[in-house]
Amino acid sequence: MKLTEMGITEKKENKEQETLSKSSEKSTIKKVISNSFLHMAIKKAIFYFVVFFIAISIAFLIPRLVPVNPLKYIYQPPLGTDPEAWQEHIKDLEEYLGLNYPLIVQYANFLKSFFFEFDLGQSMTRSFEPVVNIVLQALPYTLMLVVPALVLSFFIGNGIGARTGYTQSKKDKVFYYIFLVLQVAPFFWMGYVLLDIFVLQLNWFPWGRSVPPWAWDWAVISTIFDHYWLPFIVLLMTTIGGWATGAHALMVYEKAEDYISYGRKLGFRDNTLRKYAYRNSMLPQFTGLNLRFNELIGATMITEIIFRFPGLGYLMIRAFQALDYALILGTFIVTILVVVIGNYIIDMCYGILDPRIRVGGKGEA
Amino acid sequence: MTKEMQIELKNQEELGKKVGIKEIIKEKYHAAMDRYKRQIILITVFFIVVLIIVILTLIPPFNDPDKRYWVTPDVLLDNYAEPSLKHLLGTDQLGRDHLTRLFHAVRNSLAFGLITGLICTGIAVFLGVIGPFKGGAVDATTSFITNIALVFPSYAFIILISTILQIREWWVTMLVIALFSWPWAARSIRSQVLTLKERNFIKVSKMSALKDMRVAFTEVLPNVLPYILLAFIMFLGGAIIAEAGIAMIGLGQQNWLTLGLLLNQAVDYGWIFPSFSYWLWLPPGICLILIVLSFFIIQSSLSRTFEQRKV
Repeated sequence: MKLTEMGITEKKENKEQETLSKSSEKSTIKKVISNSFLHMAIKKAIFYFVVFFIAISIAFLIPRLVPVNPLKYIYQPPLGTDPEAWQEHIKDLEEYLGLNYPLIVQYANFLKSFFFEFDLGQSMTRSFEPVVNIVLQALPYTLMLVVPALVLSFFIGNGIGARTGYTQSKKDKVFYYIFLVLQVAPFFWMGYVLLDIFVLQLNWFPWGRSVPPWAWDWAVISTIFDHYWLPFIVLLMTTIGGWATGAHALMVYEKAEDYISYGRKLGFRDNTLRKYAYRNSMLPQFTGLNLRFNELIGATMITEIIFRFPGLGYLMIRAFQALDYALILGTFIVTILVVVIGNYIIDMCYGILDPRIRVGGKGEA
Repeated sequence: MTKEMQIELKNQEELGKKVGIKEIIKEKYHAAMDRYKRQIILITVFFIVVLIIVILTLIPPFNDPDKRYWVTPDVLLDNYAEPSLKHLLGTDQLGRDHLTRLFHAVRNSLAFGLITGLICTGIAVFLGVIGPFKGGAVDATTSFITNIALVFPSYAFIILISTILQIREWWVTMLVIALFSWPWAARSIRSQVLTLKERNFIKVSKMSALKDMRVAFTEVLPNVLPYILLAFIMFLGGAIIAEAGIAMIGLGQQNWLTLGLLLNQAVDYGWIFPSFSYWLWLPPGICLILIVLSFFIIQSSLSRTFEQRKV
C-alpha cells in the first residue's frame, strides 16, 4: 500500500539522476563504486548501531520502571517458612542477579557484560539458566519462519503481480483482487481460522507446546515441520499479497513508459518487453524490502504466539508476563539484532544493485 | 463554410451563453463529477453504510450490546445459539445477540481508528513539515528520528508496552499504536515539502518576511494536503488492524467493544469449547477485511487521481 506510493515518487526522482551516472567511463565507475560503497557501508553500520543501542536502552528501562518486584512473585514462600528469613533469601537472590544496585549501575553492568562477554544474565523463571542458551535455542525457529517467507514471497508475489500488471486480462484481474484481499486480510485472524479448520476440526496438524528443540534427527525434524507448516503458510500468504499488489501497480506505471511502446513498434516480442519492464519496475520493491521485513518480524512474533511455535515471539511474551528482566532483555536484543542485521544486509544488497544510491551518497533508502 | 467551422461557431455560441456564476459553478461541479466520479461514489457508499450502522446502534433492538437473551427467564441462558431468524448471527457465550455486538464493534473500531489516525497524522505532519522548514539542526534531528523509527522493531515494543503496563485502557492501546506507526508518512511528507520548498511561490512568501511557521502552515500545508489525506486513510486502516491484532492475542484494551475485543472473546470462548462456533469469529474478521479493503480502494483510487493532477 504505502510502499507503492513511496516507491513511485522515489522512482521518479531516481529517473532524473539516471542520466548523470550514465555518462561516466568504466574505470572511474569502478573507483567511485569501491570508495562510495565502503563509505556507505560504514555510514550504515554506524546508523544501525545507534538504532540498536537506543532500542536496547529502552528495552532495558521499560520493564524496570514497573513498580513491581518480580522476584517476589516468582518465588512465593513455601508453607511454614519464616517470612523474614524468606525476605533475606529474596535479597540474596537480588544480590546474586545484581538487582540491588541503582538503575544506572545496573545499566552500566549490563552494557559491560553484553558488549565484552556477550553475557545476557540469567533467567529468573527458568532456574537461573543463562539467557544466551535459551534465546539461541529459540532463534532458529524464528529465522526458519522469517527468511523463507520473505525470500519466497518476494519472488512469487512480485512475479505474479508483475504478470497481472502487464497483461491485465480478465483472469489476471481476478488474481489481482484475490491478492488484494490477501494483503488486507489480518494475518492473526487468518492464523486463527487456519488453526481452527486444520488443527481443531480436521486434526491434520499438531498444536501446542510439544515442539522439540532442534536436533539432526529425522523424527525430530519431521515433528518440527508438522508444527511449522501452518504458521509459515499464514506468513507467506499475507506477505505475497502485499508484494503482488505493489508489483501490479508499479507494472501498470512501467507499461505506460515510452520505451515499451517503442519496443513494441520495433517488433519485440511481448515476453521480452515484459522482462525489461519487470527489471525496471522492481527497483522500488527493493526499497520496500526493509519495511516489509520489519512488518514480517512483527507478524512472525504474533503468529508464533497464536500457534505456540517456540520462537522468539512466544518466548518473549512468556518472559513479559513473568517480568523476567534478563529474559526480556535477551529476547529483545536478539530480535533487534535480527532486525538490524537484516536491514543492513538488505541495504547493502540495494547498494550493490543500484549504484546511484552510492554515488549520490544517500543510502537511506 | 466547412462543417468544422460551423461546429466551432456553435461551440463559441454555447460558450458565450455560460456567463452567469451559476453556470460556472454548475460546469465546475460537472467537471469535478466527471473527474472524481468513481471516488465520490466509493466514498459516498462507504459513508452511507457507516451511517446506517451508526444509526442502527442507536435504535432498538440493536442499542444494547450487553442485553442477554434467555430461553426461560433467569433460568436457562440462550447462549451459543446458531444463526436463526431470531438472532441473525447467533448469540455468544453469555447469550448476547452477536449482530448487535458486531454493529457496535464496527462503530467503535472506526472511532478508534479515527482518533488514532488523527494522532498519527498530527505527529507525521509536524515532523515532516517542521524539519525542512527550520532546516539545519532541526531538520537533521527530525529526519534522524524518523529514520530510526522507520527501522525500529515496533511490534516487539507494542507487545512489550501493552504486556508490561497491564493497563487495559483504550488510550494506552491508542497511544502505543500511534507512537509506532507514523514514520513512513513523516518521511514521504518531508520529501514532498522539500520539493515544494524550491518552488517560486514559497520563495516569494519567504521574501515577504513572513515567519517560517506561517509559510509552512498557510502556503506549504495546503499543497501537501492530498498526501496528508492519503496518509490519514492509511493510518485509519492500519490502526484498526493493529488494535484488532493486539486485542486478539489478549493484550488489548478492554473497555471499548471493538472488533478486536470481539475476536478476542471469540478466541477465548468460541474456538475450542463448543467446537466450531463459526458465527463468533467469521463475521468480525470479514468486517475487518471489508473495512480495510474499502479504505485501501478509496486510498488507491484517490492517489491515482492526485498523481494525474500532478502530471
